[in-house]
Amino acid sequence: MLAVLESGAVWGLDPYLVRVEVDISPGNPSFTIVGLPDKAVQESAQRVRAALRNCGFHFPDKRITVNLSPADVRKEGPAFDLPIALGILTATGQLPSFPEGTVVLGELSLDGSLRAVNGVLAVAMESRQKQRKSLIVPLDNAAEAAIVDGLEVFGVSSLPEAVKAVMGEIQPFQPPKVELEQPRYGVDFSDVKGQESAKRALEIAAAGGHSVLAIGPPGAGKTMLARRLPTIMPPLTISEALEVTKIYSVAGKLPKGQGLITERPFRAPHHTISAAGLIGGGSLPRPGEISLAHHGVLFLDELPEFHRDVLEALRQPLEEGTVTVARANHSITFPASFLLVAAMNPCPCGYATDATRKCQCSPQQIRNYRRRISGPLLDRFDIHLEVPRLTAEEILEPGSGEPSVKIRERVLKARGRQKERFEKLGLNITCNAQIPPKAIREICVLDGDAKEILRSAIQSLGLSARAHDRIVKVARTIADLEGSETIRPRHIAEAITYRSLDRQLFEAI
Amino acid sequence: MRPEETLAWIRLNRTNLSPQRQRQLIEAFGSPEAVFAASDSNILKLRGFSELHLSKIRQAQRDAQPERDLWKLDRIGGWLLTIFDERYPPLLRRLHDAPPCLYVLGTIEETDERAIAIVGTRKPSDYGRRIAYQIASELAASGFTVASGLAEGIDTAAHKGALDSGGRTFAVLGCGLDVVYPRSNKELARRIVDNGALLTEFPLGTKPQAWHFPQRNRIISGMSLAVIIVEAPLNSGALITADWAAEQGREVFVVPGPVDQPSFEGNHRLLREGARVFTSVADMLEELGVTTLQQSANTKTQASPKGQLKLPDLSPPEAKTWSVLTSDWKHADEIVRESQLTTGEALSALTLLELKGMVERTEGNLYRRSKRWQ
Repeated sequence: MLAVLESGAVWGLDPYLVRVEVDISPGNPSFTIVGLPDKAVQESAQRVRAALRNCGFHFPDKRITVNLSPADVRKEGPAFDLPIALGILTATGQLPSFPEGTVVLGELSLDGSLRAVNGVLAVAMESRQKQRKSLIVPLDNAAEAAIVDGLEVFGVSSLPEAVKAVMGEIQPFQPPKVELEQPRYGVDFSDVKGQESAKRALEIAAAGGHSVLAIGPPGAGKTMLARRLPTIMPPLTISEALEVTKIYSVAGKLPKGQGLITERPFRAPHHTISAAGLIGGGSLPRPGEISLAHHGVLFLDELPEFHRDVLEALRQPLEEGTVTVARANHSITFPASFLLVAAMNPCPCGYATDATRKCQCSPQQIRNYRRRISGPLLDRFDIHLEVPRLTAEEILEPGSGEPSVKIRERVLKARGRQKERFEKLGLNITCNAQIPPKAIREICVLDGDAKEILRSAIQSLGLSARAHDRIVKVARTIADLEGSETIRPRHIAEAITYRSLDRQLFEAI
Repeated sequence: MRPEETLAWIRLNRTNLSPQRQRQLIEAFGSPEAVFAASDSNILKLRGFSELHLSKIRQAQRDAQPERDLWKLDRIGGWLLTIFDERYPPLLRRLHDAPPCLYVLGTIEETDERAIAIVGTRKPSDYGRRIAYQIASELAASGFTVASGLAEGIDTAAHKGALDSGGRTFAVLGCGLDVVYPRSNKELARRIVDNGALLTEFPLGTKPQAWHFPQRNRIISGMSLAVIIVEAPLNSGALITADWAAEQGREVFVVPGPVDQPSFEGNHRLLREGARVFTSVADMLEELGVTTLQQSANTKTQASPKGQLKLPDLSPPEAKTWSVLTSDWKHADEIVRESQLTTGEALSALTLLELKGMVERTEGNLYRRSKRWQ
């Protein structure tokens, strides 16, 4: 009286199929689950027993053993409820036979209804990879599972419906059509009046993947501008969208019934966030905010207020596009390739550069505040953006600015040029911000006058030497936006305006 | 001065008696050495002297280590200026509470008798800073010595203005000579030592205390012909300087500011109370009835290129950008809108103009025509 079914689970972001073996044999009534189950999996026994009885099925008074194989990987979460229940039904003959190649996932409640679980998309992709035929999942997860082509997905809302699905009595789920080309963000740059230099800087940031540090008094619209940055970035490609959706699915952040995520994510964690919350953590690590911002924008408001160790933890992901969370006996790598946008006030009270309100801070306080973001951290930002203070009515006026779609077209063209260039050189990167130091000379060709301007700027404007590479890369993007192969003086000159923090502007006379 | 004499001066300075009491002692006994040689009864006979004053004198006699002070003073290159010294600022000497001795780092010249004080808030507006700098450089170029307090803000701008035009400046400190405060002005202090002096009545090693500053303000106003208040909010120490100046019979000139800006409220209060309006250095000197010393130095400032320089060749976007720039700070966005260039064109033009030295940029993405070109 043995039944074998298949379910799935996720290790980090990597899915694997789990064999659920249910054995019912004579003996004292008992219900044991083996195969390194965690608490939620062990409690499955109680839910399965109650759900079976409450749906009018027979629960055998026998010795029940469930094995989750591979038995040496820790399993967590309630997703094995449904396969265990179906396994018992099969083993007791209440289901005639279980179809080959069907993968089952779902959490049961005591009345037999099904609840959504995490990581369904990842398991669906793995099932397709391993040539399984169909998938039975809770209805709320069906849209997500149906993203994967070539799998029959059955979305069921209760245990009896799952039984019907096994018997082939219900129709597979029909996924809605996905349109990647027209993402819907709900915000648009056309709402933004004025702010010409900020808009221009964000356009460059989107075109070259450059990180941005925005400085301005409170209420200058830093957050409002950053929130609109995803709207001018290129639409997600199908593989990017799959990656993003997978991460959200594993983290349990996918809204109920949501299929493929077609918008670039925008994440704005609060400055009290812990390092684990930002880069991912837990005993079985889950993706953190930076992975949730993968292929999108990570916005850190009040940058100097973040804990130092939290900001330190950003270094690896900013360089490599991935983050590795190490635990005593294993380590897990999550993708974390995001566009970093940070914001800060010019001084602790925020009004240092404001003409209408008086700044309350002493010069010493201002220096200390700014010192918090000095050195290596400042090094991470390609573009420094100074935002003036305007009231909300002054900034927001729907329909007055250039719409995001228009800006996005220019960004796409610039990205296209970059891609072509990188392919020609055999570089495996996607935007100018990622150009490795070795390749800068080859990719960023300056004409004679441009070289001269850069040299004299570094000399006379007090720019630090570390600014050099960043200026050249940003200038490359500006030239790409204009469609110019060589970097001309005007490109380099504009790039120089975005390095204000490298200069000693703060100590005027 | 004999070393013993110097030591006695320092010892007197260390008694913690008020300047008036110290001067009373010197007048009564002739010299600090004689003060310490005097008997208890002779000291107590002086008007207003009590056991408390006596104990302070005796304590300094017992505990003070003027040798160490002198050694330290030598080491940092400073010297002691006593009220008997002919280099002692004559205007200051006339005050009843003039300090009997000053610790000095730097030089004092005859021309320094013609000092004008420039004071104001530590957190000035751009306007205040610019005006302080301009007044100081004009005054210094006309042969006046600019006196101020080495604080951040207006003081710093005034010192820099004087130094940049090749003139002299005095900084009166609220702490010991070996304690430069604020530390951010260390480099400025070094420049002042070469072209003027740091002065203080506080003994070496004295930390800056809040109540030192009003006290040192009386020296700033006391040694000057007039005091210019550039920018002062209502609680500003500059207003204390103005009060001292009025008490000492010095003319107070006040720079008018925008009426809606809190950092100028003190200015406007003074003006209401009858202080003189500062309009230009020439007007002020005329009102004071003093003439400039060095006509040559004066012409030097006039030779500055105001309006006489020919514009260098500019590209069309640069010329357009230049035409919308003024002597006031303007945000980049405003420049973009007014020049009707694309944002990229305008921003790159601004940097190119800045590299030509025609444009200045400051915090907040603000630009203006640089001083030479206004």
